[in-house]
Amino acid sequence: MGNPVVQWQIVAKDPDAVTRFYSALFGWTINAGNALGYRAVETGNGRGINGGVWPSPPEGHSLVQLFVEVDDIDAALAKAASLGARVIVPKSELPDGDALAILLDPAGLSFGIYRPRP
Amino acid sequence: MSAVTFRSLLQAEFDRRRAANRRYSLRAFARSLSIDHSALSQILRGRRRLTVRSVRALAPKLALDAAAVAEHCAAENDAAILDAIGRPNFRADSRWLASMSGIPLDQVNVALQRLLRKGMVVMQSRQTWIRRVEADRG
Repeated sequence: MGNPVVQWQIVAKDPDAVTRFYSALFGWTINAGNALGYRAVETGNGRGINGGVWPSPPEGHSLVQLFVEVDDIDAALAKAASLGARVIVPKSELPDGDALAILLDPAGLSFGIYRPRP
Repeated sequence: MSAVTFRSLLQAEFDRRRAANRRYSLRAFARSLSIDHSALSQILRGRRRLTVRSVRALAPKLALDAAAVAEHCAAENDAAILDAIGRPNFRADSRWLASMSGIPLDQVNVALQRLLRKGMVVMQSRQTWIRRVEADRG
């Protein structure tokens, strides 16, 4: 199946301001009606990928992460570690059944691996 | 993150003042902090949770710098989330956590991610979030 990039995520100190900005600019719609209150962003077109907005801690900084779909999070984590990545959020199964983990690549960029609900 | 809790800082400051003046009372300490003395008493006995707002209000009177205040605010939020996750009626839902803890939703999610990073919470399945102590037992 390959490992497609399936989602982007903006991590922002002021998530409401970010979502307002992109909604006003591109007409993207925001849906936070889920158990985490996650601001899921739909770009309104079958092309490209959708994303989401997550709050950053006050001492953090705003950034963008890409999420790559994998079949097996544990196997992907092990392989990433063998290639020099560092796990910063371990495998977590979300209330909607999706699972993810967040890593830092050897260059220090954070990214996610993601497995949709079975 | 500092292992020293904000509560212990308050207690240490009270003890320091009492050591300098044996007649120094909790009421006097509360007055100096501009806080109700019964509320302060409950905080020191661990009967009342400190909120981010109360930490920010009290911190200048303990001469804490901005970084220390941020650490203590995060620690108080983390403790409240851990406490809520341990409740028998826990629901794997950030809005429920916000409702139980009185912490705004975004701060709940920031705390959750911090706890996940530190390994203090594990999202084991869609409805099962466990605290580290419980995870270790399993």
